[in-house]
Amino acid sequence: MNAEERRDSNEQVAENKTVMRGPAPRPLSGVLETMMSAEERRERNEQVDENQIVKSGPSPSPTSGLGVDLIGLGNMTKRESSVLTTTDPQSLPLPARPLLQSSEERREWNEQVAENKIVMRGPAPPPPSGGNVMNRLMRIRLVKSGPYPPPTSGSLKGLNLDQLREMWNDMYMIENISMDQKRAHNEVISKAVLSMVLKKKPLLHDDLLLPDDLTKMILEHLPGKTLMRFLSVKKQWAAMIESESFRETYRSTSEKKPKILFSATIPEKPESKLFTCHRFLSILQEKPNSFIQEPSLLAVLKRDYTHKISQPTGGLLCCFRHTKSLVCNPSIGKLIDLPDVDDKLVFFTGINPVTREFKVLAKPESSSTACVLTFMTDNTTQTWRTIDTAGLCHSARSSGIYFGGYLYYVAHVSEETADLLISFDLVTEVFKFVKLPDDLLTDFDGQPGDRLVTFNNQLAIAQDDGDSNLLTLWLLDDKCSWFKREIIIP
Amino acid sequence: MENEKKMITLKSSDDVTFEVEEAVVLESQFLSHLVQDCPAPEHKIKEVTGKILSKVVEYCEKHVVVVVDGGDSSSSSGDDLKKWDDKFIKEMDLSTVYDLIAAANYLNIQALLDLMCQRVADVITACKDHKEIRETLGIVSDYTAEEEAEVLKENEWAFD
Repeated sequence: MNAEERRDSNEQVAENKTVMRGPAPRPLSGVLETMMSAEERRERNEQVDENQIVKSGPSPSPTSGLGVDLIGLGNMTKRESSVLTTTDPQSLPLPARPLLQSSEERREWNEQVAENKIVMRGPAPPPPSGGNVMNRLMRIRLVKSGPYPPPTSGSLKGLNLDQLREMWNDMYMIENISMDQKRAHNEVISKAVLSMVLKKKPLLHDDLLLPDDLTKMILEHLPGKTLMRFLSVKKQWAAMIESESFRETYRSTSEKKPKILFSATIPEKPESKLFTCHRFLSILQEKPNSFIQEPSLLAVLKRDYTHKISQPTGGLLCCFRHTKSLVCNPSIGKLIDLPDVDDKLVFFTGINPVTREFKVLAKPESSSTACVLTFMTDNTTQTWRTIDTAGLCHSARSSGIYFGGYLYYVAHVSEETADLLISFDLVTEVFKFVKLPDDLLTDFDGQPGDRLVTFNNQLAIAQDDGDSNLLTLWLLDDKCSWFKREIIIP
Repeated sequence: MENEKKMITLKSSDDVTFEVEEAVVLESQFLSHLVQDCPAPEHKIKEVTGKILSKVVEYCEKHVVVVVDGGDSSSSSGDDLKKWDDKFIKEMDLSTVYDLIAAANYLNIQALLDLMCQRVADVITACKDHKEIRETLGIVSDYTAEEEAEVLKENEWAFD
C-alpha cells in the first residue's frame, strides 16, 4: 500500500469514525494502544487499513454517543481528521455485534456476510457517480440556506444504509449549524442505521476484535488436533498457526505440561497381521486420571508394517523398521519419509539446542560410525551424513533419551567389557561415554522398556527389583558420577 | 501487629468505583507499578469498563485470599479455587470473556489471562468441525471452496 492509498484509506476511516465507533470505548483499543510499540502500531494500522472493509460496520449497539463523536469531527476539515486518524488509529474501536440467539440466526448472518451484504461493508467509497455528488451538494446547500430540522424517521425510510451513511458524512461539511442541531440530526440517523442493522442480525462479536497477539494466546491453549481443525477455519489463522514464532511458543508452552505419549498397535485388518496402524494417545501427567475419561487421540499412523518407535523429542517421533524410517508428528498427523539407510539401524532423535534443529541419529550395530540427519521442516532434501563415533565400536542396547542437548543410550561394546552409557552432543556431534554404575544389576538386553529416564532434571537409570516394591534410581551428576537413590513404591 | 489494611480505589472508564485492599491490586502487575509510582488514593483505569473491572476485582479478591491462606499448603484451598474458577468462567458469555482477556492483558494479570484464554480454547475444542468453530466465534471464512477442500483433505484425521 503506498502512502497515497493509505491516506485515502485513512480518510475513509476518518469519515466513518462515527460508524466504526462502538458505544462505550472498548477496553481493547486501550490495551492495544498501550501495549504496542510504535512499530507494531504502524503494522496494525496497515492491518486496519486492509481489513477495514470487514471490520468497519456500523455499530449495532444502541447508543446516543454517536452523535457526539461526530460533532467532534464535524468542525474539522477533512485533512485534520485524517491526520488525527493517522496518529491515533487505535482509538477507533471495532464494533461489537449484538448477541445472536440461535445458530440458525448466526448462519443466516454468515451467509449474508458471505454475500457481501450491506452490514459488513466498510465505509462508503468516495462518491461514485456525478449524480450522487450533485445530490449531496444540493443537500448541503439546502442546509446552508435555512434552518435544518432533524429528519423524521419516516423521511429516512426507503434510504439504504449507504445513503444514510452518506448523510452522516455530510455533517462534516456543514459548518453553519449548531452542535445541538448536528447532534439531533445524527441521533435520528444513527437510530435509523441501528434499526436497519439490527434487522440484519449481526454477530455477537467480531473475530478480529482480538488483536493477533491475544488470538495467539488463545490458540496456544488449544490441543494440536484442534489446531489442525483450525487451519480450515480461516486463512489468517492458518498462517498464524504455521508461523515459526507460533511453533516455537507453542512448543515451549506445551513442554511445561508434561504428557505421557504412548501408542497402541492395532491390526487394521484382522486377517492380515502385517497391516497395522499405530494409534497415538497422550495424557497430561498432571491429571493422570483424565486418561480414563478422555484420552486425547492423536494421529493414527497407517503403514503396512509395524514400526519401532523412538523416544519422542520435541513432539516428534522417529519410526523405523529395517532400513526404512520416517519422522512423524503425531499431534498434527504428518509423516515424512526419510531416505533409506544401508543397514539395519537403531534410530534416536534429539534437538540441537542452539539451532533448534531436529536431528535423527542412526546407529548401525557393531560399528564405529553412525549416521546423522538434520531434519528440515521445509521439504528440502534430507540426506544422511556419516560421522565417526570417536573410535568406539559399539551397538546400541537401549532406546535413547534426549536430555539437555545430549542424546543418551546404553551401548554394548564387547563381550569382555561392561556396557557403557553413550552421550551424543547434538551441537558438536561428538560421542562420549560414561561408565555405568558398578553395582547396576539391570541388563538392557532384550528389554523393550526404557530404563533411561530423567528425574529431577538429572539423567537417571531406573532399576526395579522385580518382586520387591523398591525402585532404584541411579542419578548422573555433572561430574559424571552416579548416585543411588531408592524409592519405595507404595 | 498492624491490622490496618491500605485501601485503594479503582475507577473504571464509566466511573464505577471499586474500593479494594492493596493486596488485591498487587495481583495485577500493571496496577502494582501504578500504585507504587503514584500513590494517589484513586486510580482511573480508562481502558476497562465497570462491568469488566468488577469481574477483574472479583477474581483478584478471590485469589489473593487463597494465596494468603495457602501458607500452610493445604491442597483443598487449591481445589476450591479451581472450582471457583470453573464457576467464574462458566457464568460468562463469550464477549465478556473477550473483554476480560483484553483487560487481563492490559492489567497484566497472567493467571486471569491464562484462565480466560483456556476458556475460549475449551469452547473451540468442543466444536466438532471448522463450520462450528466459525459459527461459534463468528468468523468469516476467507477460503475459496477449492482451497478449503484441499486443507480439509490434508487434515482429515483431525475431524474424527
